[in-house]
Parts: sequence; structure tokens; C-alpha cells
Amino acid sequence: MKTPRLPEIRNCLEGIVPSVLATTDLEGTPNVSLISHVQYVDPERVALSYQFFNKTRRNLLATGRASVVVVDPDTNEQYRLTLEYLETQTSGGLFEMMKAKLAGIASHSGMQGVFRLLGSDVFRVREIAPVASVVLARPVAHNQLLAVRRIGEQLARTGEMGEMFDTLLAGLQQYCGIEHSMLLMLDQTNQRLYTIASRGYPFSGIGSEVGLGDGVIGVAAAQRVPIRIGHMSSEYSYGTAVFDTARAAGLEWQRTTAISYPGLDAPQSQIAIPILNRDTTVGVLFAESPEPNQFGYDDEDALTLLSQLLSAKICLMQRDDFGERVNGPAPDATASGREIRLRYYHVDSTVFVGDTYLIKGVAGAILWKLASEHAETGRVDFSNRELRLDPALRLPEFVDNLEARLVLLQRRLSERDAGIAIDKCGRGRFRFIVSGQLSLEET
Amino acid sequence: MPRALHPDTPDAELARLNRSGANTLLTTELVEFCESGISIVVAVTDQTGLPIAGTACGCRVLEDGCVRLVLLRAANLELLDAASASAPIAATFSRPRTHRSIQLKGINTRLAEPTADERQAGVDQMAGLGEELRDVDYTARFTAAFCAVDPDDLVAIDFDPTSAFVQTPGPGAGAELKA
Repeated sequence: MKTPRLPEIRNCLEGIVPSVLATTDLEGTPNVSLISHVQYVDPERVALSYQFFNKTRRNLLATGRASVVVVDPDTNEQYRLTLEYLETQTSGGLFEMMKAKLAGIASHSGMQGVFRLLGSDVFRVREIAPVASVVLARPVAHNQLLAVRRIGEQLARTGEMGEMFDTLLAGLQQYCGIEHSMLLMLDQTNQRLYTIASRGYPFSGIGSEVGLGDGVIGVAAAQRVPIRIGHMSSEYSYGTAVFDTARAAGLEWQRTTAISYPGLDAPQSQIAIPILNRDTTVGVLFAESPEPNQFGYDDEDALTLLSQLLSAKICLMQRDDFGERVNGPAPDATASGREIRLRYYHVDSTVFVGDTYLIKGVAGAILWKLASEHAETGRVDFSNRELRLDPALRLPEFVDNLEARLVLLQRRLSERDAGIAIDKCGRGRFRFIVSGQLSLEET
Repeated sequence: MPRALHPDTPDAELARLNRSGANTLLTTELVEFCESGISIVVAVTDQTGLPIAGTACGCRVLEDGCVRLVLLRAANLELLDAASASAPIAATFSRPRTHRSIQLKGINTRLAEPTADERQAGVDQMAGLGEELRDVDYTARFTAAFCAVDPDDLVAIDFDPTSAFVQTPGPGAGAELKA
């Protein structure tokens, strides 16, 4: 039998079938137990979850050696790995990835409160030996490399950010079989992620927020590593977090201005991939399913490639503020008709349209600036550059995500049928179109 | 990790032992547990001091108190090599439905030829494990392959148990079961 390399047997390292872990003490007495999962780290290394200071743990620290039998849950292929202990990590990306996976396993196996990750024990894999077993044909799966290629081709044809986001999520559905997905961007000013695009939910949830560190989305953003969970755990649930927090604090204001998170009521599998720009999180690509164990290492690779592509394109679009001007017919700046009443709260830049909450934060401040100038001078044409230069908007200096904030604003205005539209009219330029008479109030 | 709606606990294992009032390492109840068709995983230490992990299909506790494991030769070649050199051994018995787990440690490890009855016990006990696994949501397709046994490929390892430990996950796991 051919000896495989570690990346080729990653499916054995999903934590679906328990692994057999053997250690020995200095006197040569062996110890054997079933362990919940072996984590793939890189082509040379795996990690085991350190949960209890037990005999296994003492043996590992004393001898540094372990033997593990792992099983592919789809094919029943089995391998014996000979491991050499390297180090224990008690925080960081690997630790958080394993913590999430363990929480899912604990939730599924009735071990919540028993399984708790104390550390990630990292091992070098010295040998991989095939173990004879009855091997099943591998089930046909989506060809994720082909899917990424197809989606990449479609992304290359998109010209603006909102369209690009929607194209990506549609591509996940069409080519990867991912029915429920979201894109969130990180607002550096308040360290929260806001939903900018979603697909496969009864309502869009555009503008809904997830805190940095909350659920798989927030942990992926905070730790800058992909986070996957095969069985949902209450520890990683945030479906109602925004409302619950607001209720607990008795903050009517927060409740009024919270936008419902669109996620599934009863997800089982979730995956969140950070979108990184030079090691800094700018957003998160997220997918989920009501079925358990839906996202494997290959899905993680595919979504990571797409998030890297997305990051590069976002970066290009953000810098492209001096592009060509597209001349179109000037809209009627003297629009009449219904009154559009905007109310602005300086304290957190919240904007209401009539009595309905619309948006807050930097996007709220942008809307207020545009509306104020439009009301005063009838101005319609604006540029990204002037928003960037306006100190009142308090855009972060590095990775300001301005283009994404404009997409958010554009979508909230459209969803709320506010009578105000933001139309792109060339790279780095847009029009602020008001179908009515603006009436502005500040508090 | 299998789904257990009513997981066992280490405390429950110790209480079981106290109730039995047994004066032997392996109570009747414990022997029945080990032979009941559950997961059996094995480790021996080879001559260089390295552990080797493996799996067994079945177990019989013989009249003299010796524990006989039947296991597939093809899947455990290295482990059998080490076991034939009288290596110290450990075996953990685990029920998927409850996570109840017991580890036995032993000495005087030696290879043996299983009887026809013991070969059949290996087949039957793996079928029992298959039922357990299906109960906890593994597919019939997977469990059929995972629990497949070629009786002609079965060999036996005998050892004299010297100690037993609670291995059920939870506070108190690792405690020694003492008569």
C-alpha cells in the first residue's frame, strides 16, 4: 500500500470518527484511549486537544511520543501516525480553531461542560502507516477547485463592489452547493462586523452586526484563521445575540437600532473565513448548513482562495478613487413630491428615516454629510476621495472599507425604500439621488 | 465522537464497583461489559519503548482471569510483533451509546490461536459495535465497513490484567478501580 502524505489524509482528521491514541510512560507501561479529534496543522504537523491533565498528558510530556490510529469517515481508510511532541499552544489561531471544533463535538456527543480545551498539543508526524481495512469508494463531492475557477471568472467580470459580493455568494450556491452564505465587513471604528451581502435567507439582514469574538464569524475575524464547526454549540451561537444583549442591558435604544441577524434558526455546520489584507481582517466570508459536518478541509481551502481573491479585488476597488468619470444624464435635482424626513443622532451617528431606523456609525455619518450638502446646495455628484478627506467622518486611516460602507448604505436605503439612492457613476464617484424633499433634524 | 444522550460518568463507574462488593479486579458486571460488543482499542510498548496503537474485534475473559483479545492480523501487524515479545499492554473498552470506558493494563502478553468459538465472538462483538454505532448516527454503509471481520484473519493476544481504570470522560476519569 502506498504511504500517503499528511495533506492527502486530512479527511481522517475531521473528528467524525474518534481516533485511537496510545502513549507510554518512562517505565514502558502503555496507555490507550479514544480521542475526539486530531487536527491538521500543516503538511508536517498535527495537533491533539489537551483537555485534562491525565495519564496520557503525563506520558506525552515525559516521553514526547504517541501513536494514533485515524479513520476516514467516508471511506474507512485507516492510518497509524507516529507522533513526536513539539509544543503546546494555549492561545492563538490554532487553539481557537480546535476550540470551536471541540465545542461542536462536545455539543453533539453530550459532553458540553466536560470537554474543555486547555491547550493544543502540536506534534511532528514522523511516520504514516496504512492500516488494512475494508475501504469504501469515496462519495462524489463538488470539485471545489473547478468551482473556485468558475466563481473567479465571474468575479473578474464584475465592476463594482456590491455586484461582486452578490456574484460571489451566487457562485457559492451554483458551483459549491452552499445554500446559505453571508459576507460581513469589519468596522475598525467599533470593532464590529456588519453584514453587507447575504444569500439563502428569508430576509437579507444587511447591516446586522456581529461582535468581534462572537460566534464562528467573530472568532475568525479576531483570530484571522478559518473557523469551522460540524455541530452547532450554544457557545458559538449568536442568532439572537444582538437582541439578547440589548434586552439584558435594558437598552431600548440598542434594540430599536438593531437589525436582525439573518442566519439559520438551527444551523449545524458553519464555516467562517477571514478576509485579510496584509494580515489585518477586513471582513469575513461565512457559510452555514442545517446538516452536520458539511464543511471539510477542501471547502476551507476553496473559501480561503475566494476570500483572498475578494481581498485583492476589494483592495483594488478601494484604491481606484481617481478613475474615469462616467457622464450620464444629470438627475432632476429639483425633485419634488413626498417629504423625506431624516433624523440624525450625533452621539453614534444614527439616522432614522421618518420613524424607522436606517443606519448608524460611519455609514450614518456619511449619509448625513451627503444629505446636508444636498439640502443646502442641491449637490448630487460626490467622490469617495472627498469622503476620505473629511475628518468629521472619522474613517480609519488603514483599511477604511469606504467602498463597502457605501454599498451598505446603498443597500439599506434601497431596502427601506427611503426615497434616497446612491448610484455609482464611475470609479470612485457616485450620485446622491433624492426622490422628494429632504427635511433634516439633528439631535 | 458518538452522540450520547445519557452519558455515563466516572462516579457512576466507581459506585457500580462499590455496590458489587467484589474482591477481584474484574467483576462479573465488568467482564460482561468487556465482552458485550463495544469498541476495544489496544496499545503495546515495543522494544524501543515506543507505543503502538491498534484495535481489537472482541474479548473473552478466560477462567483463570486471563484476558484474551481477538484482533485482525492484517490491521495490527506491528502491534502483534511487539506483543509477541511480552510487551506490556493496555486495552480500553468503550460503549459508544454512553461513553462508558474502562482501561485494563496487563503483563505477560503472548500471542494465542483463537478457538472457532472465539473467532465467532469476534465477529458477533463487532456486529454489536456496529449496532451501537448506527444508533449514534454513523451510516450503515460506514459501520458495515468499519465493523467488517474476516474470521480467518483473527488472532488472539492473551494478557494477565494487573489494574483497571475508569476512562469515562468527566471529573474523576483515570481513577483506578480497586477491589
